[in-house]
Amino acid sequence: MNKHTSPRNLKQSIRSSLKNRSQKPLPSKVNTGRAVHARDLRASEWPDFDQRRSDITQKRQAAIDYLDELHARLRSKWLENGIVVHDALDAAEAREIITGLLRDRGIIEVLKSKSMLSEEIEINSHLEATGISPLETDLGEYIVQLRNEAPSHITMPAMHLFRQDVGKLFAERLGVPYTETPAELTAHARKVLRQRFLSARAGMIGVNFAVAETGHLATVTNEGNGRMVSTLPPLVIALMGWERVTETLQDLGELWQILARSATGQRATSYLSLLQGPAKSSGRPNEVHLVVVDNGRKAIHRNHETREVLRCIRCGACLNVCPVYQQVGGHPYGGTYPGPIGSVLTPLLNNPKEAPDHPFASSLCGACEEICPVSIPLPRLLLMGRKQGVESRPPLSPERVVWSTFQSVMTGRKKYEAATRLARLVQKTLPEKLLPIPGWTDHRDAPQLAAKPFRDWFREEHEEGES
Amino acid sequence: MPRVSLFIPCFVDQLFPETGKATVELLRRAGCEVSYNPEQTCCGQPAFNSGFHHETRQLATKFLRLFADSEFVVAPSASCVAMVRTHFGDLGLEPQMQMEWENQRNRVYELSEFLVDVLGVLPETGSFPYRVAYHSSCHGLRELEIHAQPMRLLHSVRDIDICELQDRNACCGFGGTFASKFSSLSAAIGEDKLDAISRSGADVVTATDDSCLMHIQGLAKRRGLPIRSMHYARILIGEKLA
Repeated sequence: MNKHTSPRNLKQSIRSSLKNRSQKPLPSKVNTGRAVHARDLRASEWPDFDQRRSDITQKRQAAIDYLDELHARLRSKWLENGIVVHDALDAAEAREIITGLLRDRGIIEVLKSKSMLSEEIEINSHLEATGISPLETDLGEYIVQLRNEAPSHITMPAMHLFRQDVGKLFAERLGVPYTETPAELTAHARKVLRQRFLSARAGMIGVNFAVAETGHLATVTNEGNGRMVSTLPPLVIALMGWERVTETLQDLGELWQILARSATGQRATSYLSLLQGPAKSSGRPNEVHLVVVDNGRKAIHRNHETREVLRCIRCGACLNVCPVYQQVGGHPYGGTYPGPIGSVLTPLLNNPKEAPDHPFASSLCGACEEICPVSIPLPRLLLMGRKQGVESRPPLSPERVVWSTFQSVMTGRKKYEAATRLARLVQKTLPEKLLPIPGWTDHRDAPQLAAKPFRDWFREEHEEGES
Repeated sequence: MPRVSLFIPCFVDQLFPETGKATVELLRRAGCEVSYNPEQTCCGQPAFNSGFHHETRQLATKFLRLFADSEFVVAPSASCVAMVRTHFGDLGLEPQMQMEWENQRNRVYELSEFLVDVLGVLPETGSFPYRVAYHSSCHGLRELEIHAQPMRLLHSVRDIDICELQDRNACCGFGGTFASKFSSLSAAIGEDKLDAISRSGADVVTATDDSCLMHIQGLAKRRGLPIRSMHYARILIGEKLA
C-alpha cells in the first residue's frame, strides 16, 4: 500500500484488499476487537455513562456553535502568551507556512508527534521534496513511516500489523536482533529516537484541543513524545484543525477522559501536555507557531446538516466497531480518515466527486453512532452523503433510471403485481444457473420467489372466510 | 378488539409469505382483528438508502395515504418499520404529508414490539424442537431498540433450545443495496456471522428481518451448511421444518 492512495476508487481497493488478504486472523479484526473490549470495560465503570456522554455531546456542540466567539477569545490569549498564529485556508497554504518556517531557519529535520491533520495536509511528502526530513516519534507512526505507509487508523496508526510484523521490520530496518516482545521493540525505537530528540531544532505537534479561557494547546499522547518535541527544540510548530476548540480547562479534563476511554480503553492517557507558549526566560521552546487549518471545515460548519460532524474528537471508536473497517482496515479508504467518520468526512473535506463511493461503503448498522462519545449521527450523515452524491450526478444516470422505474412499479398495485408475475415466470422457465443476479449470486445462493405471494393467500383465505 | 392493518413489505410478500401468514396467525391469537390492504407495495427503503429521495417521497406519500385511518400498523420487519417511523421524516414531505407522518409514525410497530410492548400479550405458541440462534438485526436493535421482545416471545415456545451467538450485536453484512454494491465485502462480513452461527451449533437462525436472513441463508447454502433461516414469527407458531 502506497502512502496517500486516492479515495476515488474505494470499491476497487476494497475488492482487491479482500482478494489479497492472506492473514487469518485479520489484524484489523483482532486489534479492533481488543480496543472495543477495553473501551466497553471502561464505559461500564461509569454508571452514569449515558449522562456523561450526553453532557459532553452538548458541550462539544455548544463549542461548535460558538466557534467564532471562542476563536476571538483564543486569539487574544495566544497573542498574550506569545504564540504566533497562522491561518491556513487549505492544505497547500498550511504546507507553505510550515515549509517556510523551517526553510527560513535553515532547519533540515523536524520531529513530529502524532497528528492526523499533518496527514491530511500531506506535510511529510512535501517536506521531503524540499529537502527537510520529517521524523515521526509516536511509536505507531514511526513504524508506518519505516514501512513507507500511511497510518491505517486515527489513534492506532499501525493497527494493521501484529507485533511479529514489527519485529521483522525493526530487524530489517534498524539492524537489531529479531524480537516480538513489545517492551524490547519499544526500547529499540526509543534508543533511535532519544538521540534525535536531544539534537532536534524543530518539533511539530498536533493539537487535540485549544482551551479558550487560557489559550493552552493540549496534546494527548501515551509515550511522552509529544512533550519531548514541544519542549526540547527551540522551534515548535503546532497544527490545529479550526474546530478543535474547547472553552474551559474543566471541559478539557472531561474530554480527555472520554477520549482516552473511547480510543484505547484507558482511564486516562499517560500524558496530557499543555503548551501555553514559548518559554518566558531562556528556556525552550523560544518560538511557538500555531497553524490553524480550515481546509473545508468552515464550509462544513456553515451547513446545518453537516455541522454535527465537527464535534468529532478523533477517538477512532467508530472504526473499531465498524464491520467494514474490521474487514479491510484503514488503507483501502484512501484519504486521511478511514471508517465511518472517514466515509462522512472524506467527501465533505474534498469534493464529493473525489470520494463518490464512501457514503455507500456502509451497511448502515449504526454501531458507529452507538459508540461515538459525542453522539455523532454517522448513519444519518452517511445517508445524507448518499443523497448529495446522487444529486451531483447527471439527471439521466443509469441508476436514476433504475430507481425511477422502481418507484413507478411500486407506486401502482397493478404494475407491481404484473412485474412480480413476470419474475415468477422467468424463475420457473430458466434454471437458476442461467439467472445470475448481479452482486448477489456471485457470493450467495438466490432466494426463490414463493409459488404464491402473501397477497394471494390472504385474499383466498378471506374469500373462504366470507363464503 | 384492537384493529391491526398489516404492513407486509414487498419482499416478504413475494419471497417469504410464510412470515406474513405466521404474523396473521399470531395477531389473531393475540385477539386482534387483522386486515390487509393489497394496494400496499414498498415503503421505499431501498431507494432511500441509495440516495434517491425524490423517488422515495412518492412511495412514502402512497404509504401514508394507505394507512391514514389505521388504528395500528404492524409489520414483520424491523428495518421497514424504522424506515417509516424514522426516515420518512428526512424526506422533506409536503407539509400535509409531514403532518400525517407525525401523526401516524407512532402507530407503526414491528410485530414483537406490538405484541409485547403495546398489547402486553404472549400469544399461544407452538412447539419448535430445535436449537435456535437469534440474530439481532441492526435496525431493530439500534433504531427501534428491539431485542428483549422477540427473545421473550421465543422463550415461550415449547421444546426450543435458544443459544447465544458470539458477537451477537454484530451486523450480518446485508445492508440492503450495500449487499450488491459492495458484494464481496457484504459477503465477507456475513461469513463471520455464519461462522458464529456454526460455532453455536444452531439448527436454525432467526431474526426480526427476513432480509438479513435471506443474506445469511444464501451464504450458508453456497457454503453447503445445513443451517436454516426462519423469521421468528414462524418459530412462534411452531412451523415444521421442511
